Amino acid sequence: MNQHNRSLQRRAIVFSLLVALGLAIILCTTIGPAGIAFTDVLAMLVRRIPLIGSLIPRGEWPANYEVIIFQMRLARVVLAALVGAGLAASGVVLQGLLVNPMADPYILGISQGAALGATVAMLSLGGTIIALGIYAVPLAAFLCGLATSIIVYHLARVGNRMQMSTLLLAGIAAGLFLSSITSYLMISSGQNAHQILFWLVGGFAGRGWDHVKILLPYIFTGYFLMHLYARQMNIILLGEEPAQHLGIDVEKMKKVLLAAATLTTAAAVSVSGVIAFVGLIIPHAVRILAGPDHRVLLPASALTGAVFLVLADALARVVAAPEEIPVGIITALCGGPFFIYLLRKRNHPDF
Amino acid sequence: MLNNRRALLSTLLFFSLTLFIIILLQGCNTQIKPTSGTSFPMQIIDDLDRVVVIKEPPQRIVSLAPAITETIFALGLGNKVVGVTSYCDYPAEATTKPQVGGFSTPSVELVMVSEPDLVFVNTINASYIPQLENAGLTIVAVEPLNLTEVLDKINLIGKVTGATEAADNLTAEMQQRIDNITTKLDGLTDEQKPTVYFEIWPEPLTTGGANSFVDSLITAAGGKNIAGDVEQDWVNLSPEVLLARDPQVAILCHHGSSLQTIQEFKSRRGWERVSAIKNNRVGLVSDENIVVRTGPRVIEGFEFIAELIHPDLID
Repeated sequence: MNQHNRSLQRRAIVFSLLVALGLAIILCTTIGPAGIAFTDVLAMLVRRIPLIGSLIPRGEWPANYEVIIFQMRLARVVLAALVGAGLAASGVVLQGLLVNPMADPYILGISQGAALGATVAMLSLGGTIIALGIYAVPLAAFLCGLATSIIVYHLARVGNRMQMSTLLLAGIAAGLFLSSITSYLMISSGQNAHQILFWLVGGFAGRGWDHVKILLPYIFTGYFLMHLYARQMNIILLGEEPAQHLGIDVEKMKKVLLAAATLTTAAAVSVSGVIAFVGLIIPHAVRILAGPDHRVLLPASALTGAVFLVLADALARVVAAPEEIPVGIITALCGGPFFIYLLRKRNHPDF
Repeated sequence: MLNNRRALLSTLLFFSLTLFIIILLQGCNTQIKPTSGTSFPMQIIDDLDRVVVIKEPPQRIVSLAPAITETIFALGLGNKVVGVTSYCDYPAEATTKPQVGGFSTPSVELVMVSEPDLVFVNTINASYIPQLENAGLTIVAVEPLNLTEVLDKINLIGKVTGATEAADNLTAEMQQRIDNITTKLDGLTDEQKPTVYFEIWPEPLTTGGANSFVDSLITAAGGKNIAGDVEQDWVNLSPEVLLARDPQVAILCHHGSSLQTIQEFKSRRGWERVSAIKNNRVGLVSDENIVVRTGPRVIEGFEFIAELIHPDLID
């Protein structure tokens, strides 16, 4: 296949995934415990489109249904898409940089740092959560996640170079340390342990457009920076020295990519807790299906992560209504077997 | 190897796109003002220090805490309840109401669907309040931390629901039952107050600390909580400390799935010397919800504990 065809194929994959994401968003906006009719939801959505919308008549749904759909469900679905995209893209980047298939966005201690920040906020601020609004916990989580990653990066820096192997170990060590503090806080928090546990497992319950507004700049900026280096990431898989010899400024690339991945992950964790599995497995799954070329792997993983998390969140909303299962549990439950299936398909084509 | 002009153009395009989307999103969180009623509005400060305005007596109440559900039913407002949690199992009528959430995880959609004009929450649901408020709901957070506050909060709930008379009757009755016991405990010196161990959970040993509700029950019942010096809500006690502090009275309470029995408690290895076991002063609270749930039934829990601690003074 020549260059032109390959480039067309890349765009085709990304485009079809975009369409899939759009469909998933619409579909999952119709799913929820409130039992709003499918056609009603579609009508409500279409009515919001500038010109065509006025053609659709308003059905007999109560006004608060529109509040549920637009303020609660749609915000949640969009948030899930953003978080899924951010985590998956960060996963791709970290797996490429660390040249380690077991790498995921949390490996640098970001999630444990953010968890500690969030736990402290949830325990000690209590009523101040209302005063600072919903920003208390995400802010604390974000700052602590960032602080952790900065410390870890400094541990891994040798002169002007960033040593990847040391980075991995430092991240794991920092993560263990911080999560033990979080565990202690959880144990001594008595009845509040419930609340902390739910946050840690990760979920979108109670999140709205405010969270989307917080998250959006980080995901977009982070992804944009990552995509700039998509082509170079292909080359760095050969090794850092060969890549340097081929003319890539490896140190600058590492710094920018790590910063992007860190920002994206810290932001994602700060609004939705530690949703496991998405950053680790989605890149692998997409690699099996679409190939290892980062120019397609990166956008495809981001979009697949978005679709996956949107669907998982819809499931989390309804599978045990009126209770809500944290989405992190759903992602782990569904993702594991699916990945095993993909592995077997790769090794045994006739499976 | 960035093509400079292409990079510049794509950067500009990206930033303008992001800016555009952010501006678009500004319209997405319009605050809906609650519709104003005709009766006098009431302003209160709830247990999260929020100022809440209640326009008129609520007709559709959602309760996101089992204790509050019990109180609302006890005030005779059961017919106005339109949403409870899946843990609201008392009184029996509460189980027939639509369920809108779990223990600390309300489903905001289901709360919205029930179209409440007043929603009661616990401080544990604090993170859901902003979204529900933005959707136009009135939220009141109620959380009594000790026995006296239970009565205060019952009065608060009565006030905001327009059931002040029922609340006054209920709290008067509860106060009388409390006074019945506290007058008999009047003038007890410190030595006359037995040390009490209240076991919430056997593995790991969990008891209530100074900030816990059970501590206030024990103290009001004329006892000394052996973990009363720990400034925490629940305390994971070490068995050594328990044996060292040697409680004179032990109270067991099934919590969740723990199924302690008095028999099992007395037969714990190495515990034979504990005063409570030696003198056979071990009691089992039949229904944990009379001590853990901070609703009207705490009176029963209080009476039970008082009888256990001072059987000679109280019959």
